[in-house]
Amino acid sequence: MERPAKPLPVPDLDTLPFWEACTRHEIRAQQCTQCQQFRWPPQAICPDCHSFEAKWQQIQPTASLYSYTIVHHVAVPAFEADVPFVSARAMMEDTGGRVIIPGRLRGVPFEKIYIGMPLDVVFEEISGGKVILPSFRPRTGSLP
Amino acid sequence: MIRSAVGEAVLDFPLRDKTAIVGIGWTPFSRNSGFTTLTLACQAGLRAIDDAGLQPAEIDGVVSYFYRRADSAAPRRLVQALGLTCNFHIFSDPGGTWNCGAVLSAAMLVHAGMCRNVLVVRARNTYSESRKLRAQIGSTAVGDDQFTHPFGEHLAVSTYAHFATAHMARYGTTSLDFAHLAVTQRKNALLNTKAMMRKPITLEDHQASRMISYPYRLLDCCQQSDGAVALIVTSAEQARDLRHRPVYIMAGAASVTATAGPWETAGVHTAPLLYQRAGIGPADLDFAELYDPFTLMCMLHMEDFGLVEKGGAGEWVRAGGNRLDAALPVNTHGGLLSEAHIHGLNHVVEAVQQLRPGGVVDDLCSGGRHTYDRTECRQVRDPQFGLVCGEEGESALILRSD
Repeated sequence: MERPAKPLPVPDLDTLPFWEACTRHEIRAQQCTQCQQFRWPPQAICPDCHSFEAKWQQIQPTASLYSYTIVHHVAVPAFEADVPFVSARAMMEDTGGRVIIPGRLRGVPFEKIYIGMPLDVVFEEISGGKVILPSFRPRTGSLP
Repeated sequence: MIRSAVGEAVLDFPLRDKTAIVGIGWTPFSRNSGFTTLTLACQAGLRAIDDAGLQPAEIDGVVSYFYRRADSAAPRRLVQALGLTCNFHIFSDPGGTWNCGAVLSAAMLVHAGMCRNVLVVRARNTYSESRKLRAQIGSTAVGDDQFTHPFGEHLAVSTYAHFATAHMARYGTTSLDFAHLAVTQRKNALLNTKAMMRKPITLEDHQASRMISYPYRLLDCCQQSDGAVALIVTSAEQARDLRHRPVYIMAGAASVTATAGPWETAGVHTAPLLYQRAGIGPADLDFAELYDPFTLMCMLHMEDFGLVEKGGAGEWVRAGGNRLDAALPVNTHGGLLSEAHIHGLNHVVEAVQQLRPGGVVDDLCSGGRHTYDRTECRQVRDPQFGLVCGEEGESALILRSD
């Protein structure tokens, strides 16, 4: 029996530019053109100054680990072959701590994970390349 | 000076002691109720109405809540099922954050003169029905879920585990600290005849239980339950003439706010408002019933409501500060972890039981009086003030005895 596929993100009017940027292997987030603050999650209005004007700014694909969990149990069968895996949040550099994006963390033994560890973004194709998800790796040379 | 969200000084709290909880009721808690949530809501609701010494026709307001899927009997349907005439109803979707918000809403309806007697009820068949939907829900990634579900993070345990790793990194809290909390609450549940988890557990059992989502093991996780609980809110004036001595709603708060990070909850905003409104502080509390979907979330509430200093919950729990005979017993019924998961409205019912003159009716004490022997009795000694809080500290109450 064919297994149901993993769920693909369904972009909406607020989030579409983020997912489109991922397909080009770029991380983009909104920066308010009035007060210059970055924001996450994507939304039309700046939570600081309430301006509706923003740029989808390309940001460096470097981050630090903000929080994580190692998932051992899932309810969706399509993910069963993946466990255990690290589901992480990464604080993107040069965004004033405002852009904290999700992704898998790979390439590090579980016992060496620490909050604040420097990460690089790596883009992963799913669903035969139709969708690109961000993921993270320890920055080269950052592991002992 | 305490200031509200819009910066004005918070002075006298107009609701203080103006309303009371006068009736409580519940169904058995189970993994397969065999009833619809409408039937469960009617059963618990009628018990609460009867407990208050009221007639069903005297109920003129209904408040209920759910999370994302409207799985509790809708107040409009419940009104029809019970043949009531309702003057105001609320059916809101903030989930476990709103156990105290629901009660506070009822108090506001009564104090505003919109309703005389408000039924607050939460009914659910989460084990027998909702569990089956988890795979389906986790297989779509719309709205906020587009940033979690595609990565395989679709269970609350994983989302909440981020709080735990953040707290461990910042404050040195450990899985063994979590174990102490789980064991203490299980001990309380052993003294609660309606609790679903009544098998003793040890620290070793916790540490040996299987990993679900690091750092959370099975015994860090609440259970899922079928069942309903209900309570009745009325004016303090009317409350004095009813069957039980009233338990007063001294103060309440419900807030949503950004926090500094996943090592804290909105409780850091809710708590100062709450204590200012009540005119008492955490040192005055006799017990606390704190929302506990996972062990560390309960510890965050201990800290953010000032029971212990920030970062100190692990040490406090290890030293037993939360036990029945300690300075501040927490989750005297066993909590979501070991009593049942009725979205925290069961926490409010436990607080009311503790604060009534006769105390809890469903521990193992027989003969009509409490012995305070912790092999049979879970009653706190002569409590006057009890704190209850909801998920992520977003709503809270201080209740007081008559």
